Amino acid sequence: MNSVVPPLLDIRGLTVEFVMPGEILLAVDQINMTIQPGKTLALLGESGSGKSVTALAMMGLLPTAGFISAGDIIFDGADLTSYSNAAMRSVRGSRIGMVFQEPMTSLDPVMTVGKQITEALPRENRRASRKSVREQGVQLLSQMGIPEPQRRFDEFPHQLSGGMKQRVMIAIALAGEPELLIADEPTTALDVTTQAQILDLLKQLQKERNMAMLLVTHDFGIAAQMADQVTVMRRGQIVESASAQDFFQAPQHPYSQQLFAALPSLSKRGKPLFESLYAIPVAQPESSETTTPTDKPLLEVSGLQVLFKQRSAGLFRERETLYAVDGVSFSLNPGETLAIVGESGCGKSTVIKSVLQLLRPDSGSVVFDDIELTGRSQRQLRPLRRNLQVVFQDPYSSLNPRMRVTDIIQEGMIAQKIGGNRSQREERVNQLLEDVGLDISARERYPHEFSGGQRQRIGIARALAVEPQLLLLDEPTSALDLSVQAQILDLLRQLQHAHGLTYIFVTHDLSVVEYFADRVAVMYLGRIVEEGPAVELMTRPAHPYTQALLLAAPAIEVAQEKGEPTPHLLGEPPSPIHRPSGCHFHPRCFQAQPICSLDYPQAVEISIQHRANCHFPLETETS
Amino acid sequence: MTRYLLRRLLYAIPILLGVNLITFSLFFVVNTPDDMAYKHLGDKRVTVEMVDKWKKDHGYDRPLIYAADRGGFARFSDTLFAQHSLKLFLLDFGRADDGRSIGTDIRQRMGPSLAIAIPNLLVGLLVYITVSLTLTFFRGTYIDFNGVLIAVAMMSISAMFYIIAGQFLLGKLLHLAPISGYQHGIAGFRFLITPVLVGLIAGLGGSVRWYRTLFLEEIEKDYIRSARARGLGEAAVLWRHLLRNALIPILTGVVVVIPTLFMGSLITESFFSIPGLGSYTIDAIRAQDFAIVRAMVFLGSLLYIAGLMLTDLSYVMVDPRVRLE
Amino acid sequence: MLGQPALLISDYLIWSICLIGGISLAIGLRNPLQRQRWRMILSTPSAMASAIILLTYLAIALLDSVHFRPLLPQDEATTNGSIEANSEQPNSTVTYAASEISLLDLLLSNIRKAEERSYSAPLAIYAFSKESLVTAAGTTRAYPRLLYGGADLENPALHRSDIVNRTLTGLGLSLILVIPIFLLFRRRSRRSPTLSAGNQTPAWRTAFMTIAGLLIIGSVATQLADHYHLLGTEKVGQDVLYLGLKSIRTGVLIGALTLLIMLPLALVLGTAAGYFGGWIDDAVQYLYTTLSSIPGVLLIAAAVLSVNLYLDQNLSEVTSLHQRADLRLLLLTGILGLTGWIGLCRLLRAESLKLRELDYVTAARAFGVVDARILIRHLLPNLGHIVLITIVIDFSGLVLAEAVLSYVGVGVDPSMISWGNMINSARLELAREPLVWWSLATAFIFMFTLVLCANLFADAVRDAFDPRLRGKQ
Repeated sequence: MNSVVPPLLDIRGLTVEFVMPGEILLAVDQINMTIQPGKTLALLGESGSGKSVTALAMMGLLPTAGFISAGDIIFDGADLTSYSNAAMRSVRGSRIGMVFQEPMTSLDPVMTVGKQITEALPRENRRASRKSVREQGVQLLSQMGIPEPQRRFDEFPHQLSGGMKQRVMIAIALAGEPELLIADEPTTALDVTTQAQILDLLKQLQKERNMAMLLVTHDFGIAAQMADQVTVMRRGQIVESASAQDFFQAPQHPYSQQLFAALPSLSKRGKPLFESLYAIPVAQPESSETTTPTDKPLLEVSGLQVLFKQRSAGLFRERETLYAVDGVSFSLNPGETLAIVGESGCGKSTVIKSVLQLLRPDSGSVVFDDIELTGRSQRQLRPLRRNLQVVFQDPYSSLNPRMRVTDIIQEGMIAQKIGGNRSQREERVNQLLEDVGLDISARERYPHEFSGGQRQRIGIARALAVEPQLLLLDEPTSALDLSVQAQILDLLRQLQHAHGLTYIFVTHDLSVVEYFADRVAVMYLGRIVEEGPAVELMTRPAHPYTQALLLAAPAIEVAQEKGEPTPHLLGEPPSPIHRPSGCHFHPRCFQAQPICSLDYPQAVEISIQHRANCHFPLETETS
Repeated sequence: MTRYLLRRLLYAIPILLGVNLITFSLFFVVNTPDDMAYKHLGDKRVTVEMVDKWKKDHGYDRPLIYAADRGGFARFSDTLFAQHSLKLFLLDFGRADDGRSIGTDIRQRMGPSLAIAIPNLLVGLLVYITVSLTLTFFRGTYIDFNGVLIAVAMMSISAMFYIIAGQFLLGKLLHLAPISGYQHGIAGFRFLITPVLVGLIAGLGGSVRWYRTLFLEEIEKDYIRSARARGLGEAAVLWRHLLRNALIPILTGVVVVIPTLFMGSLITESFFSIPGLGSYTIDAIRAQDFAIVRAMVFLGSLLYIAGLMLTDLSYVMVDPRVRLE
Repeated sequence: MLGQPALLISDYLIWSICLIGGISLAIGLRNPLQRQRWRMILSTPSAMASAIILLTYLAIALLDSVHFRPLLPQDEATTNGSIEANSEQPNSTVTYAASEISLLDLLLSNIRKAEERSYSAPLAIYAFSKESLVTAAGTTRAYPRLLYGGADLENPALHRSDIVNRTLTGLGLSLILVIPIFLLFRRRSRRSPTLSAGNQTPAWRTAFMTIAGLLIIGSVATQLADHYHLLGTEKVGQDVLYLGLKSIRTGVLIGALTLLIMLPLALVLGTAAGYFGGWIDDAVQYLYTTLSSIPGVLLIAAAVLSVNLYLDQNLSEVTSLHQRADLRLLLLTGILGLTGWIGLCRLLRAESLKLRELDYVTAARAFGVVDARILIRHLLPNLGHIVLITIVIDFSGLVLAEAVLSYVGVGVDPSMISWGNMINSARLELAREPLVWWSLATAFIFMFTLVLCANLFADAVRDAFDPRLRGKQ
């Protein structure tokens, strides 16, 4: 590694500050890093660590409040911090390209894709005839693996899917043939199968063009898959910098080690992820998976169907039917955790809402503790509601900013007329705050005074206030940083143990599933395609879609044998309005047969309690 | 597209009916034809016969909505509502209190109103966009800060002061243009200078501040940042990307008022003695000529609804994301 | 006892608006986030200055909203048409004037009663136009001395030095108040730490400067107005400064009362449409599309005309001129309110649509909390900032609208003192030779100050509470 080649990028003592009303905020604090030509550096960190600010500072694109107060950014021998705005313009695009996190908003909505690509071409290429400029653009599109590039060239961004937009963004970033590509969380907004495709594409392009890459990410798996070097940032400072191999084998800094410990995985089942005062290391035996089927189920959902009559695009009122949830059935035993997994738009959150009867299903039944919930009036449902409670994904929108924490937690008790008089309820609030690991002084404060993780704890306390039997968790950790996620998962596990709670855990994160769930249901386009015990399903998936999901999730373990990229699922999930005929998955399936496009497959028993809706379930090596 | 337009047209009917009902109840239920008759005949020794005659002369001697003494269809058609309100749907505006045909008046007075309103709109749009784009370019500097302050100050001044000041400055002090008046044809150009200029300045503060906000809202968006990231200059970012996106709300906001330009501006026309529909309306209001006011209310709503439909169409033209099917 | 209280309906209303506003502010300030936002508003110098000036306007309007019938001296009572009260004590008959005056009138009695015959320029001692004067030497045409303006000035040559003297006296007197206030503010601004994280210090310096400026202007004006017509007199000889000050109540009332009427309408309809959706939403949308499709001025004009005609024909026995004007004002604000709720209603509907999808509302529904309680606990408090921003912006619009409507002839009663009526009667004076500019200038300055302050304050409120709403009108 000690080559004599000078680094392409050499950042020395870079410091970035932000002028905020009444204070100056240190966002990046004297960081050093280097990138060699053709190599990839992964900049790892949790939110607020300053990793994106570093990337923007390199491009000279800091928001108006931010400025570089010290340090040099030496790119190919020249210090970019001394460049004027006009000089920076000649660097941006042509020497350093950048891909942003949000492909949905990063493209100009009223300009065709082609124009946006060609305006990024080097000046001399842009001067060529219109036809040749167009050809260059089309060629770039096809290099990005976009089918029908001629047609796509003239389309507008809203006509493309999310993954396609990100490919266009990459095409724009590469049009100027930069030596360095900065990718700022390029796949965070995408689904896991699309993410895998984009990462493959980046890897391939980098190899072809011998381009250096700065990959800003929070995801250890992505870093492990992509990087040669890893740099970890925390609160504006670099805590560890190492080669990828060394880093993933043995992280040195305690913070890095803590993050590794916080990664949920199959092997950590039952063990706490985060060492803290509140995490009681209860070695929960993996017995719950083998719950005897004779147990009376707490919840039985059968044939659940939710349709949305679409009023598309606001202006006109043409109605189309969207099958958000179509014939979903599952049952849940007391004390069990069922994970519902799927990509965005598969209907998993809708299932939760319709189980809670906040959204009336169009057909099907939801039986809770032998009581049918569908078809009941709001008044009849009211006394039943205390048994089913919900925790939401977004810690910011789930708490009313105008209410004190104590009022938020008491709301359910008052509505359900439980918890006695005011002082008794206050007493209970204290108890609940203690249960979720918050100080009692939180009571009189307002939500904005708490961090995301603390808010999530308040949300859990609110749900627990009415002593529910079933807790529906709608992506409860997706908006949280890794270390906070670990704490919340620990808390949930501990509460389940203490109160005998039953969970439905909706998520898109397979590592959380394999760590946390007893049983898993995989959803695709409104239907459950596979369901079974977590460990079995994660290790021996029967449905091709489940297998694809598992392969697509970037895993740290694979990092060691970085060889040929695994074949990933093609395309993106189709719209739930126009679902493919037969098995909805067949257009993307590797082993689709003619019958797959004709009939929707019936559930096939793979093993006890494990079934998959597939005509040709995968031959899994039987153990 | 055609189906969409048809549906919009159908949707306009209940709205116009509602407008009709509102004006009808204001003019015939809140104050009855008897009230109107007394008002017009003056206070001196009015007999019941005189009132009846006035009502008969002006066609107000019918029942409100249901004529019980008539047979068949006439029960509904021979009523005040049918004769005075529903007829507006056929653009039959009836006659003013002095017997003149309102429809003819409207046709004659449309020209002068448009002669003021159209240049005002076009020049205004150009000036406002240029000024606000300049402020956007200098955002965060003292030019921007002071520009906004001036804009807020300008929008805090009543339009009447602008007119009075304009007449005084241009007309009386500098003798650049006549104080008021109107003349048809090219020669009448000099009469338009002051009203158009005043209209431009009166609208400057509010529009510039609003447009600047639209621009600033756009400039914070991701696609502007990614345009910069591909090495585009500030001018290219502003003109090619920012302006196109910000123009969508600006243009559609303008399109909705285009049909109502016919109505003219009440105070501008009145101050400058321009024989347009605005001064027509204001004269009618002062003379309490309810037939004209009623006609203008209906016409205004009709044009406004037409403006809404035009707005939808203009969305399709400027925004590729919008389709009307 | 100054006299018999005779509060007008609008007096009651404006005081209750102040009460409601004060209470809602106090409730809002219990939340620390809200407190921080208000502190942010007051840390903007322009907003601080505007707030103080707005409060001054409000104070004048409130002073002008305590009406009573003054006690008449015994001798005057017999000559003037007056009302007899306290008939139980025939020995000591107390008589009150027939028409109401306000506390402000009482304070301004000097310039209120000092009427000239016609125009006079600001601070003049001679009338504006020549008159035939009968002197010992016969009849001459000359500028007569004013009845009030500088009447006690024996030697006209001393006119200028008298003005300078009085100005200096005013300045000196104002210092008696300004200096202690200065010391107070200095202590205050020293105590609050600068640049503490997230906590902004209110713009004390600006506050002091504004208050000092107002005090100096007030003090100098009092000194001068005591002996002169500071801003001249208008056509029938009334003091223009008095008219300007009296117009404040009209302007503030039109703004405040209209808001009082449109607020509940917009709140109820907007939140109901957004939260419940379905047919309620359809009905509300139909209602406001219909109303908003009628050009605003025309709808107001049509309504005012009809209602006034109705009043004229059916309600001729209203007691006093004041009460009649008051009734017309109330009706005008009612009509403005009924036509003005649409903008706010649209905003509230859109925001309610958003809020009802938020997780905390879903959580409340999952607890089985009833709709009414969700509306009160979750929606209303989170709509507060929209209401606040809209009312400050609409307020300035309404003050401007009054002038236009009065010009069109559908504004306040012609007998009522308002900026619109002042402009209306003064607008042709610019054509006179020499120019009569002071009436217009006075109306301009008084109106401009109020509207500008409201706009600047609205800007700061919007920046503090919802940066996204910036510029949405």
